[in-house]
Amino acid sequence: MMEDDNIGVPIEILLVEDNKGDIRLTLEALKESKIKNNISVAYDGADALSFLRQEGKYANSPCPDIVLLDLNLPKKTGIEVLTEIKNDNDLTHIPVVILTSSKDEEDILKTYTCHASAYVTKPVDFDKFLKVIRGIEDFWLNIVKLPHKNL
Amino acid sequence: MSRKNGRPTIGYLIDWFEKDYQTYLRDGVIEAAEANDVNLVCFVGGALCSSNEYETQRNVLYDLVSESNVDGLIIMTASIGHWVSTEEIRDFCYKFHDIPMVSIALSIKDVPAIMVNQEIGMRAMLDHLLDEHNYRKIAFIGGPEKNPEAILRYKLYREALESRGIQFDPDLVVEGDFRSKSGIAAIQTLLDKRKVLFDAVIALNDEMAIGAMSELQNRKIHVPSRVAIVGFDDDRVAKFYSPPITTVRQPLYDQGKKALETLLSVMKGEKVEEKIYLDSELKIRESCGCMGKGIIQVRSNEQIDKKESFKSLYEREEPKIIEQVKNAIAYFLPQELAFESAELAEDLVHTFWQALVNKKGEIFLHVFNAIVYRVLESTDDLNQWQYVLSSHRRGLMPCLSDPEVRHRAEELWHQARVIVAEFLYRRETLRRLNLELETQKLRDLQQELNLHIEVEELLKVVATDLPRIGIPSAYISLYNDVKIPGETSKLILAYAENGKTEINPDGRIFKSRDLLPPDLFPADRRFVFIVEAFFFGLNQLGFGIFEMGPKEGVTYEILRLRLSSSLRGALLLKQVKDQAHCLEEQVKERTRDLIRTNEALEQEIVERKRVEVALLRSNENLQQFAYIASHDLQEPLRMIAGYVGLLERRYKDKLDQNANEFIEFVVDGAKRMQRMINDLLTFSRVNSKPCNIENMDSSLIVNQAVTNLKAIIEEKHAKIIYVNLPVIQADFSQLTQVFQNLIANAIKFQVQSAPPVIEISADESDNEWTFGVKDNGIGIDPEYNDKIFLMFRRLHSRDEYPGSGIGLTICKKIVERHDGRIWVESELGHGATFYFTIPKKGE
Repeated sequence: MMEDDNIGVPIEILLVEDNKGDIRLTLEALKESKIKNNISVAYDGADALSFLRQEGKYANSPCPDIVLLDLNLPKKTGIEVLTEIKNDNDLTHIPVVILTSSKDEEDILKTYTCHASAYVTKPVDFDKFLKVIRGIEDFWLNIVKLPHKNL
Repeated sequence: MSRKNGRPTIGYLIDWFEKDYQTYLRDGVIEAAEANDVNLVCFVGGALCSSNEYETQRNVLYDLVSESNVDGLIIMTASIGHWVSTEEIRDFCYKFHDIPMVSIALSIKDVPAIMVNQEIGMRAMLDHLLDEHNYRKIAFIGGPEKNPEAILRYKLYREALESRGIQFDPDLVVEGDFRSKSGIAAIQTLLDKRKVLFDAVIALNDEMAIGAMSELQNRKIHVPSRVAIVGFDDDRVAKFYSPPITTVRQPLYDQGKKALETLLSVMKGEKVEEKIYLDSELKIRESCGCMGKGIIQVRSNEQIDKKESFKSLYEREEPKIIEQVKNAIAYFLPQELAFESAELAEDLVHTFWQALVNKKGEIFLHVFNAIVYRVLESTDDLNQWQYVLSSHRRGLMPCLSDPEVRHRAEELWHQARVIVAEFLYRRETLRRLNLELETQKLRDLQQELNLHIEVEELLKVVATDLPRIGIPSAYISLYNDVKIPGETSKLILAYAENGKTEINPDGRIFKSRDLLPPDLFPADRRFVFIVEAFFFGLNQLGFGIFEMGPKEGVTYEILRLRLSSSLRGALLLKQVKDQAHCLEEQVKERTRDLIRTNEALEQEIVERKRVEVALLRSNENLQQFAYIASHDLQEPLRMIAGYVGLLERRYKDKLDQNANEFIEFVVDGAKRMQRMINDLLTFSRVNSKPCNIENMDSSLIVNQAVTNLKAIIEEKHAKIIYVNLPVIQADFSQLTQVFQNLIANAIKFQVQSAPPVIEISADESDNEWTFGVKDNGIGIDPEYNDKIFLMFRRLHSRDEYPGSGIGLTICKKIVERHDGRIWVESELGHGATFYFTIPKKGE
């Protein structure tokens, strides 16, 4: 049933992550997802913003439906990226899921901003990682309905 | 042996130095010492156990007597033992048993004694009063109860009365103490209390006789016409008193002299009699009712032969007259002049005759004058000249029939008597003047001593003024420890003929029983030392040694008194000054200490601050490190776990059983490591996060902890009991962590037999709350009570009870951040109670 609902409309996901291991792991997890998705990867904060704003080589890139944002990024940090997204009227509607490597990091982040849509601590084992991804899928399904309603 | 300057040294122990009785004795000892060329050290140490404290204080000098300072001892036992029993004075003498000794006036076993045959004088006195004067009611003023001489005289008194059939009347006997006051008191007792009549009084010494006499004279009772009084001892004053006192003369001078001579014999090892007796002698004067001797002697009883020419008569009588005069002169001339008495008598008789015949009185008077002068040098008994002149007159008178010659002779005798009287007068006046001069010098010295209150100044005065009063050398020493004067002393002043000896200001220490540092004894001459005790009130100070100068014993007594009080004052002052100085020094030292301590403290504070800053920085670094380390450790860990997980998922079917087990181990290791990293992060967070202390209901904290543990509580059917928990001041999330960890532990370490029951309680004390988390679990061996709070310390295998072992460490950290303590009380198998305290913070 779910598959029918989403046929032909894959989710555009932007993964902002510099760690190739994490990128691959995320890609592998998403491969097992029931939801069709197109994943683009930005390797640093500045790259991510260019992608979102469709600047330069990203002029023809799709606008992502969701951003999975790692915090520890070269050039611009995850927080800077998040702040810019939320301060950009064109981008502010895009849900951002923050990937953190510890609960602690999450606590600190909460004191900075409430703009993130969700926080996800990267789990250690793959099964849990899959659960996280599934969580994001659920999240996506909820979110996806919201813009439609608003529109 | 303590021979100084090649001579033996004789110690002379005597109570006092300046009293009559003692003076005569002393003179005998001193002159015999001179004649025998021996040194003499007089210890003027007072009587033993005297009723006067000031006198017993002097006794300390007897502690200084030892064989190291004397070779022989003369002990004036009678007066030193005046107040004590014969046994006590005997024991006193025996203390010096190593030293040859002679006793004066008391017989002590094994000690030769120079005794006076009291019986002779006393019997003569009693015979005189009873038989010549025919007195029948004779009062008796006795001596102290224990005094052996007094006992003997009393016995003779009783015997004399008895032998004459006179009834003894005990009311006539009064006890005295040899002082004039007791003489006065005796008369008062006799007349006022007992109301007895008496015609004569025997006082056992002259002093009491004088006291009695003055009391009678005050009552207008004439002595001797109404009451006769006699004394004993023949004090100097007895002869000059009005009326002159009839007394028993003690041969004191001879006793002193004999004592020294006997002692020298003992020291040479010669055998001597144990008791050597000298005779006492009755001196009849006027207080007994007799006429004076001089007055009686003037009578000549001459039978003048008028027929014979007075010249031829004289020539026949002359040898007889010369013999009589010679005898009269010899009677009073000192021994060394005795051989001159014949010559003197001849000169006197011849010149008198020449003067008569030639009608030139000067011939005789010049010669007489010269003779008196000559004799004056060696005797003070000029009064005897009256006797000489009377003898001459008695012899010559029968030859003088011619009234004119006789008249001239009487005139010459009269002139001669005037010469004698004038001599006597001049001499007494001179003596008095000299005495006044001496007294003046002493007074000056006292004044000087009074002016100076510093010890150094005082000693300077002593050193300059003592030579002026004729004391050739003097030494002043203080006891180092007044409790043991016989141990060591320090010499603070020494001066001899060659001037003051330099002594360092702190004094020179020497053995007290050496009397002086040995090098200071006169090396080239014989010496007579007088040792006097310095004390003030009951405070002993030290002793002084004065080389004998003036013969008046009172000089030394005054010096003793003055120096004692001045030294006492000066020492007190010095003590006060020293103490003040000492105090000042102490304050200075303390101040220095304080400054030093302060500097050290400041230094320490600086150092501590430095360390604190460094520690703070290092702590920050450490926390930073811990955070980053655990954080950055996560990533590789995730890689391992993630890809192994992926491997397992995708290739499980293609791998064999072993490979799958290996993968399980890798996953398990990675999971454990992650938990540890997370715990470490939590632990470092306790410090890195600010402690947000607020008032809060602690039951809310426990609620939160229970909520957090909801899953496990339900799973294990645990029961958590808590009621009435107080409001405390704490950080909510941190304390939640504490309760959460403790409750989780309590559940984790449950017994198999029963579900966990956990009671949480709070006890209030003055300044803190003590929380207890009690479980019914497996308990802890008390041996591990402290260890369990250490990081990663586990008591059980991971398979039994999972966990990283950091939970209690975090609890401890949090409780300590709240200034509290945490501990456990438990017994293996009987559950455990974890306690922690949270202080009450002031408003």
